[in-house]
Amino acid sequence: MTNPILAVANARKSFGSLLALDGVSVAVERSSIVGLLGPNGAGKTTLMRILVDLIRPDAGTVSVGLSERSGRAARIGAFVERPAFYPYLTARQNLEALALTAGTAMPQAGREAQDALARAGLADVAHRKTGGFSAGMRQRLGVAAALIGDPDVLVLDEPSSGLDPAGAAEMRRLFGGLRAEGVAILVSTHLLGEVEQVCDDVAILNRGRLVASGTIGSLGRKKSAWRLEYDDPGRASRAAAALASRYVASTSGATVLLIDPDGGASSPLDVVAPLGLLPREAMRVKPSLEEAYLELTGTPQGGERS
Amino acid sequence: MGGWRWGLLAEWTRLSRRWDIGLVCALVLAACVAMYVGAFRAAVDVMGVGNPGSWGPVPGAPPPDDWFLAAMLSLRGPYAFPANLLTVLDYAWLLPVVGVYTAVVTVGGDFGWGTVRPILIARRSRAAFLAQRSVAIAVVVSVCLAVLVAAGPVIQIAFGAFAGERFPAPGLPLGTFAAVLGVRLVTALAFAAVAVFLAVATRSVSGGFALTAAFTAVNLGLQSLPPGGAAGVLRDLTLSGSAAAVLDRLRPAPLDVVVDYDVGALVPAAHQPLAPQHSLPPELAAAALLAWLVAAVAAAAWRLSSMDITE
Repeated sequence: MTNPILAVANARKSFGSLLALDGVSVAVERSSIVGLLGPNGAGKTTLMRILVDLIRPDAGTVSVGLSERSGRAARIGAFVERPAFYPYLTARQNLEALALTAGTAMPQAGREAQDALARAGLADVAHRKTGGFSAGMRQRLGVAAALIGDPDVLVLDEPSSGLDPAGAAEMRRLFGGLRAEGVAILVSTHLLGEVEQVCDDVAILNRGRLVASGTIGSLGRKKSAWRLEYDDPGRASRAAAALASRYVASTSGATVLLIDPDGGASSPLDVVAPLGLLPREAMRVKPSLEEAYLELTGTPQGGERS
Repeated sequence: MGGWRWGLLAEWTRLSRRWDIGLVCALVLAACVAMYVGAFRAAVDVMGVGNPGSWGPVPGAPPPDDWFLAAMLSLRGPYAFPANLLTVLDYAWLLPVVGVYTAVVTVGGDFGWGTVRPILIARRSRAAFLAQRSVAIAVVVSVCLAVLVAAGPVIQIAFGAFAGERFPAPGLPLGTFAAVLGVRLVTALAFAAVAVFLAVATRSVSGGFALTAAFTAVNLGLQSLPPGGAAGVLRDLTLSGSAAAVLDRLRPAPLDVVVDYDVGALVPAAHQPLAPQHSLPPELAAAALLAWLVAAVAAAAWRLSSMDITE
């Protein structure tokens, strides 16, 4: 990162006795998409609220770079948590009022609203009241609202949540198009496949701490993983239990997946051989983003976590 | 200023589509006008000697003396244009309801719906957002007040009253009119500002209404404190008390009168209500009223600026 357009450094935030963020630093480069990952309660939404000044950190700083288009402080478009609209207004009226609130003059505000609706695939429902919108439509409208004001940076909290597969694909195309236009995007999501498809970088939070950041490839390379294949699930479970002290181990049927948190070169076979639990097949594998994520956040992946 | 202009247009977009605010405005105005019409009709009828359905001499009785008619006609003056522009303001005491309702449902509603988030992300300055919202509420209250003032002459025309009649109609004391108008407006806005603060503090419509109702109840309860002494000062420092302390000086309540045939004049009735007594001079009471408005706005701005938006 050399010239981030949006960055937060050493952010710390507590809600009463709950430490929501503990010294988190994240930067978003121009024309890039950063995926913000983490289990529920990891602090993703808190971090996003800090970035858009909805909550004030106890410590740390937020810096906003200059817009290359306007030469002024970059404009941030965002939706955080669930999209929120006035149910008695139409989609267009909601966005028009938002554009006016941002200081856009009429009739430009109307044009911006219409353009944003078109980009989010909602042009045909522009004149429907949002009170009757489905969850997916509200999600799209949230993205459209974030596009109001021609932002340089987008901060989006689970934008694909509630979208059908076609809608999610459409959203990914939209993000790609925005990146090509020079817009930087920080997006939180639980859809790791989506992250692998559209994000340049990822930042993983767990329990209020930044546990990893960098490119998707670099995250995988930092870890070593093993896959042990057994003939029966019982032996697989016993092997996973034996390896749990040194590896993050999970089982799926007769397969044991091991991730070495230290990335060391030691072999799990050294542990299971004396126990008579040698597998039928042992493979050293490069962890996928999902595997790296699960290891970093300590979240079991399907099956049974040992 | 451009941003302000468009921000206010945004508020207009949000407020003008709310039928409930329009309904509350209409109901409050209807109640104020109904009270005024009641007094107006009484004034007209008491003059309408000989008119069918009006109060007047017993049928068959001799016609009233000229002095009686002249005295009774003098009671009609406040209800004739232009003096009725001022008289109708005596019935504006319900106007704070408009300000409170508009304040709570818009500000509390933004927290309830979560729309406070996109607005603050778009506007960035929380103080500017609150200022725009406050101006929008003030416009709603001002429009209602203007409609109420206009109701005086409109009702006179609608009832076809005083046409061709000659009686001592007072003019409109512009200074008093402006002062009463200002006090009525500031009182309504101060109640609205308190409601804004409480809606921000409770982050909800229901909480805003509940606490504003509690505030109003305490405020009205303190009006029963006796005049004079510390209790009287406390009463006059309340929101309603400070407004009353100013208005009672500007608009002394008219005395009830009875006709004394022996002396040929209107004289005070035997059981007059006591003239309101206040512990604070009107200048200090006016300052207290303004202080309520400023303090409530400042408290709302401070609370919104210092709070984490977690909705």
